Amino acid sequence: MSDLEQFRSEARQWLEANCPDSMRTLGRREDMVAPGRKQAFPSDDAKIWFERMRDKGWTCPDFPTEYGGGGLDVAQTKVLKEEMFKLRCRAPLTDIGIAMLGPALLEFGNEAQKAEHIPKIVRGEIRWCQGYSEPGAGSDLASLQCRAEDKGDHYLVNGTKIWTSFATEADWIFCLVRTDPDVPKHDGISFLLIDMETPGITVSPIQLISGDSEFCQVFFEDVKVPAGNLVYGVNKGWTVAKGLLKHERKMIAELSQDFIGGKLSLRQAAAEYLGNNAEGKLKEPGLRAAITNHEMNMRAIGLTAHRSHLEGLAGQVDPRIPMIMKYVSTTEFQAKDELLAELLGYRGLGWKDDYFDEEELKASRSLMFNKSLTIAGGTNEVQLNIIAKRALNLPSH
Amino acid sequence: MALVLTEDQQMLKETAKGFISDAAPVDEFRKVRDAGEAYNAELWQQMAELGWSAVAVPEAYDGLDFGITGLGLISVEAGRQLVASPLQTTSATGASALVLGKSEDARRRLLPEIATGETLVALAVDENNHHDPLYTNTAATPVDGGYKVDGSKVFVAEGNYANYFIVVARDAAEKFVLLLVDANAEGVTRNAVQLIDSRDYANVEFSGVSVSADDVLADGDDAETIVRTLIDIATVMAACELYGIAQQAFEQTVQYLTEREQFGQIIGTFQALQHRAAHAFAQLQLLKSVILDALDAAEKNRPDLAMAASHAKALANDTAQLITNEAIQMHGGIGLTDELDIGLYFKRVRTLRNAYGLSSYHRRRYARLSGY
Repeated sequence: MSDLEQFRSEARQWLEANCPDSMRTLGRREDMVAPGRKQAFPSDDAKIWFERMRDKGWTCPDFPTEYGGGGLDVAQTKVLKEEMFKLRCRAPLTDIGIAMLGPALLEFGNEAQKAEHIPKIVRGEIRWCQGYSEPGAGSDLASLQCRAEDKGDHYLVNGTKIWTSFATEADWIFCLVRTDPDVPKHDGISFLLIDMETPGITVSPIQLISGDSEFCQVFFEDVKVPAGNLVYGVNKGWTVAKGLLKHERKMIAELSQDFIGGKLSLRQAAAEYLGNNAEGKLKEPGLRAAITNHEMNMRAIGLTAHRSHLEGLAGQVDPRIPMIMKYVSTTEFQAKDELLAELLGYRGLGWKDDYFDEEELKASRSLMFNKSLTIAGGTNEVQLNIIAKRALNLPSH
Repeated sequence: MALVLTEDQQMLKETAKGFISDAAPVDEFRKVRDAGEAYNAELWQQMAELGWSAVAVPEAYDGLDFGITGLGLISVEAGRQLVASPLQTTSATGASALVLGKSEDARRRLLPEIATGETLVALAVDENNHHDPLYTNTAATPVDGGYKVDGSKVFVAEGNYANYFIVVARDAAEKFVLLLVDANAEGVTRNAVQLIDSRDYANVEFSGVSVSADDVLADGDDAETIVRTLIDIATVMAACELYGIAQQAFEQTVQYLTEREQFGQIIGTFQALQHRAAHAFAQLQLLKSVILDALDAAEKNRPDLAMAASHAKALANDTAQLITNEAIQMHGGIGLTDELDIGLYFKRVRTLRNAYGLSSYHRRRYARLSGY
């Protein structure tokens, strides 16, 4: 048996022995375990599962062991994910600290920053949020204005950040701030870590069309941030931002690929809500073709993600693949939402009350909320710009 | 690691790319077309000497036993330069029909000659305007352990110069029968049909043609599976060629976007064109993964070959159509001229989309195989 197969077998045994039965079912959005000072577990099993995974370092399986991570290499991490998927193990902890800030800090942070923050991410002690966009800086992120003035031992931060997910729940925020307003826009940005309990920070949730309000606006008024919280170097924040954005786009792409049908896969929904004809085929041939189209696209995206992984293992990395993954995954995920809404008819447009079941309400909320997928972390248009410029080498103006 | 090529496969791909771009660029196809020929026999001989005709032939019959993936990779490169040759019909489908079939005698007689490229084979399946083996009416009547064949096949690729036909027919019980028919046998007549891609197509009549027991490749309960598998292999090969054409047309178009100037600017700086090119690139990358997976399914005869083949053909059809349409639009008027290769790619894609099924056929089949 190869080392990797040996690892697979051990991982599977450990998961089988340690993952509680109730954690081996499809989770809903509200079943997700988030980290932080305000952490509350949706169930006792969720807590047990989280603690076991945390102690093994598998909340962050590919982080170095010196910071509490699992120390697994790329291939082992994939194997662990595959085994968790096969056993339907839920993620023990879901957080942008794990998916975005952690990897960026490991790449760009100094030793003190890594030693302070990474173990807390692994152990789920701190919940992070992201301060990137501003009211005047969306797709043109580099035009951001939130100001951080150098005051010697600290920076004085004034300005605002918007579309910050879960800012009301988060303990810390990582921000892009303007440290030099007199140079070209990309060259005057720094990356700053800020404790949300620092005086001068206020948070205001934003109500969305879906009824959700996880997106917030964060206001900074004379907020003093220790100088040691600046990552990588003054005015070098754009480099960190780009590195982190790659992790963000990968995360969004993967979230979109992990299509968990729940009770309502498209074909089940079609059979249940539209019905079959006498031959046992879906009644509506147009929708049948649309479902097939979606299933084929999802299969193609899955195969491409897998191909990219195998190319990486074989030392034949094609850097152009990650550039397309967010674009194709989020586009297809929205197509699924639209299709599901069509299959459910009025039942896919419920707002609330007992007339609709949970899955139906989820479908209508997703239809609206998931419109954010092709906007957040770089709009589709920005993604296409990147492909045109970096993958196809098309010229700029 | 089916989605990543092995070293040997990578080497074959590089060899194929190198040889075809040197010895068989699109200009060579133009010569064949302008001379009214079906293919360049001298070029085919060179391809055979490189061993390409022997790729899917088992070692026991003087072949290389390299696997269908190898032929797929050559087909991709051949697609890029519009090489007209019997590679797919003979080396992939023809060899596979004999390997899958039950006649050891036919294998011994023909596989060594297929391996050397001397014997050429064509697959005769379609009888209508659209591909669907369900509508096979060619009749196979049992005679002396063999069969008598009556029926008409249309748009048989490489059918005017093939030495043998692999014929899909049905017996009285409506079961598939797969037969090897000598193209010069009594009762076989063929007429050339010209399609827009200037390739070789024949309408073939079989009128009381006798087929000996040794030339029965499949009948009875096994025939359905063998016929389906064979057509799936042919389908994947067509998808490979489409992928090759799509890649080439795309690369030439992106190149053109960096050269052509209008309004005092390189047109590749226009976001409207950049985004369409980027979208096409994403589709090509998805197609690549699906093609590699389908080749693996064909090579290993995986249980999900039918689904993988339908997926590959549907996506190849759609992507090649998108890209050749975009290629013409982005080139503007010059894209419609015979002088530019873009129009030739467009024409070949149109006929290949029909070969072994349009996207609608494959979507319907995929849905049926998925159980809904």
